[in-house]
Amino acid sequence: MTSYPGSKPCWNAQKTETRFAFRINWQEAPITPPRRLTERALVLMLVALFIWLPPIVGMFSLDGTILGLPILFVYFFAGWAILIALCAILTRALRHAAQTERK
Amino acid sequence: MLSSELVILVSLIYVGLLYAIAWWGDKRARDGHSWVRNPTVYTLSIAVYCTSWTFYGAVGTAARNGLEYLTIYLGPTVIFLGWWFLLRKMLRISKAHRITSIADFISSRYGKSTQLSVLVTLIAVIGTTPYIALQLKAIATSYTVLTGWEFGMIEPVRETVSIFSDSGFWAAVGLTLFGILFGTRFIDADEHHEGMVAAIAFESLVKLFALLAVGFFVSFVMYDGLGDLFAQSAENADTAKLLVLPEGGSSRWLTLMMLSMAAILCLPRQFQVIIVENVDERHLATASWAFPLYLLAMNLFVLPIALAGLGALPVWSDPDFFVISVPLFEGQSLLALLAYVGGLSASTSMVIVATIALSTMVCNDLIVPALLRIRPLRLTERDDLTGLLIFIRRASIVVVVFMGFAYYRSAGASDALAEIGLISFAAIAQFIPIMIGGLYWKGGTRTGAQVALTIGFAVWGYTLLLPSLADSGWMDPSLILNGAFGHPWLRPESLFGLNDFAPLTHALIWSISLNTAAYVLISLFTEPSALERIQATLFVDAFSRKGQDTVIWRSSASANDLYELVERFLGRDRAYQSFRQFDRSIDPSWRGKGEADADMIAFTERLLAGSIGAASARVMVSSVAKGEMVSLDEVLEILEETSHVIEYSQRLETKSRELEKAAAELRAANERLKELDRLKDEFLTMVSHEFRTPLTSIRSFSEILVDSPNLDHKQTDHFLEIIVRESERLTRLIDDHLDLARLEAGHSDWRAVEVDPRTVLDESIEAVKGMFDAKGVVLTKEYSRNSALLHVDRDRLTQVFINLLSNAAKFSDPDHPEVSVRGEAMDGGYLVSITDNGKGVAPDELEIIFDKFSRGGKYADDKPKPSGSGLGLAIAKHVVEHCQGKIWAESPPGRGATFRVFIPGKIMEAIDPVKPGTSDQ
Repeated sequence: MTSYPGSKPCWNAQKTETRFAFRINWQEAPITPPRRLTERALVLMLVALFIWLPPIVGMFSLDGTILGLPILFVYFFAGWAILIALCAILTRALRHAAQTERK
Repeated sequence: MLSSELVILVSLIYVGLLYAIAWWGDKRARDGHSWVRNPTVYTLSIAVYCTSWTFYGAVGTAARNGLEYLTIYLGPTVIFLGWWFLLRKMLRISKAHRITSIADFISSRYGKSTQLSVLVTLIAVIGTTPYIALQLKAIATSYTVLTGWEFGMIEPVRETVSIFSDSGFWAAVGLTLFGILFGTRFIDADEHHEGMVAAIAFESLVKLFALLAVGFFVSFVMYDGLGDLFAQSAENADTAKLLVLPEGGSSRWLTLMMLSMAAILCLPRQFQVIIVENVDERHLATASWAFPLYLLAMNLFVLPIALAGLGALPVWSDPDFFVISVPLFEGQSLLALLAYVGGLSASTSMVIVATIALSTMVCNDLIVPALLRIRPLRLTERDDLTGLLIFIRRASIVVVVFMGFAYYRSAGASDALAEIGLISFAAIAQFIPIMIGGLYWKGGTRTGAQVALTIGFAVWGYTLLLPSLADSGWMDPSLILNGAFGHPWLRPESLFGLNDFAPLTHALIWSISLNTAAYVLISLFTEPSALERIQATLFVDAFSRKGQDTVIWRSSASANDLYELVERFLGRDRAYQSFRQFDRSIDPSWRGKGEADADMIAFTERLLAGSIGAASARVMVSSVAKGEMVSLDEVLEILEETSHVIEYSQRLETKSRELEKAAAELRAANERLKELDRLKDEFLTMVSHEFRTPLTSIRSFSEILVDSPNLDHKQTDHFLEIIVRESERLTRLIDDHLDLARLEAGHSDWRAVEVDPRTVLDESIEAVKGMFDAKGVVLTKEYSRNSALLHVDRDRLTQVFINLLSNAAKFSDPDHPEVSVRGEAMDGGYLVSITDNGKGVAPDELEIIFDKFSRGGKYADDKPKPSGSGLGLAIAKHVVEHCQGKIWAESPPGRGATFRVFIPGKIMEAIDPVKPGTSDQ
């Protein structure tokens, strides 16, 4: 727990002879990775939401197969896998950016 | 094929194994080298999300509604893909405030409100009950299916036999014991249960492995790969429709997505594993993709298993338990046993985490605050409370599990697994508006949150729980069909006439929208307290300001009291360890001396918050602090008062400075006035004196004339002449005086014209010529070539020069009187110098002679010149100064006096050169 000398004003209130202390402790400024990266993370989430909600989902509800698998089944699992891969790459970048700034 | 003894034995061995893992995990953590603290274990522990609902129920849902089961996993995936925005913020805040549960989180946000945490706890417990029932049902049913498949038994017998022969009862007992053993072995300052996390992670591996094993068996042993399985299913009309989405299922799809997104954030057990058990923010970064990956793997074979079950199994078999019944049907009893163990993992992990999370909440946010309020218990004065806390937690685990068991024993658990789970989700989703609002909107108030939660929960109970209870025959179904009071608008499943939606969607639309509306509207119209405002800022600006804590205490607690308080709740060793972290100088025999500072009190409060919740910790610390705690409002008031005082004193200071200045000015003015008064007296004396001299001579000569009628004619004439002259002098004196008075008052009228000073000089010389001649004064005059054009009153200027000239004549050497006049154009004006050859003026009189009535008189044989009024120079000075000019005297000792007049004006180049002339007078 750190406290800064300047952040702790104390004063004596003569009326009650009681000491008051008022302190708000701010830690060092939080790390912020480049804005572009966080914006990409936001877009990734919005894309996931968009493709998995009606009406887009309904568009892929088709008869027929891709490589012997139903189209909808492939749509979900392939999309899912791609998003996970993108998220892994993005998270790596975010963490890297956060760590280099921490140094 | 599988005897019940074997199944029970396997179950016991498995639970024993879990216990061993958990015990080992705890031991490693205590020794300080925990392998639990890594991202993989963290991710696997989050997978407690996949309960028996997933393990068994997802297959059942897939068999009924096709790919709809995916919604429950796509929602959490979306949340984890966006971890940077929501989960990370929740995590950061919870770490800073030592949040121990979702109730703690919400109540902390809204000013550490006890009422709110009680409300959240109640909703969480009631909402989780069906969920726990679901797990018990899953364990009991899977056991029945496994042991009774050959006899066509797919449902455990419940009503007919005593509860002791119900497998669900033993499951409940086992789970309670496990929860007690791991969740509540000790009260920690931070709610980390390493052992439990280790066991949960292991269980997540087991259930994934079991489901994948069954999936592989179905796809590659029963069928010739997934392609073959799907091709065969597509031929059958019943199964082919599972490969596409049902018509008109958009609203249900949307509802389920929203519910699952809410669930991953708000379910008490998810909050426990994602937020409370987290030890490093970076683990969350890994989980952001690893957890969706786990979900994907878990769901990959769900649809194939469902299709295979539908294709192969008899119609009476329950699709919810295809995971076990399909291998059994194919004669793979070992695989079925593995599937059973996987299902057991899914159920037990959920129940364990949920009960631990709920028991923490019930203890911290329900029981402890209640006990603290009952004064006769004198809880705040008891010595050791760790035992009490552990007892409360254990009791609440028993209560929570057996509430679930009661729901399970009632007919309420007759629904499909997924439907039971969704009722739970809908209850928990009521937290979403106040949670999201609390994280991003500072305006949300405690009152708004309380009312919103109450309304949302009430609507949930009315539109979802009541119909579910009515379905199982617990209450009169006429209420559901006709509405309360027989009013069609109050029908629970089509409230206010809204009947376009399925019951779940309908309930969610009403509960969430009314909840949100109440939250927003009431927040807008209520005033938050100071503590609420501070907490709101700390939560909303968790990243930008990183407020770790805000402490406002009247610090009159002794350090020893605080130490003993922590000892009571955490035990001797843990209290010592924690305080040693706070202050290195503390040793085991340390007994705090003197007053604790604000830091220490804040530290104690946070320490206690970790084990008994923020609201209770505040109450406990304030019980120890002598004197009452200062409320925030009070502190703010004091601050305000102080700033008022400071402002006031500053204003006073300014005022007093102004006053001092004014006083100085007044003193100066007074001095001047006194001086002026003195001058006035002097002046009056002088004037009287000056007037008296001619008056005396007039009077004396008049008296002589009156008294001596026999005077000769000549003498009479002479006397009359004197009288006339003195009268003239008196008149002149009065004229001058009036003149000066007018000049001083600025009343005299000026007729300014452009004049050449040489003309004025010449005129003046002409005017005094008679006098000069009479005295035999030699006058020299000399003008420069250039002249200037002055903007002055010609007559006045003439008067000035005449005055100066006659003075010069008067004071020049009486034997050889000489006066010289010199006029020259200087930069920006014209300088006139008039010099006499008299005795000059004493240096200290050079200034004074321009004052009224002052005459030079220092030099010995200066005689008073009764002819002058003594006002000449004073008038000259006034006139010159009125023309922005300057008049001064110079008198080098023994060389006469020079009076100089400088008047600014326009320089004129000489067109007609005037020869500097000299005139001898």
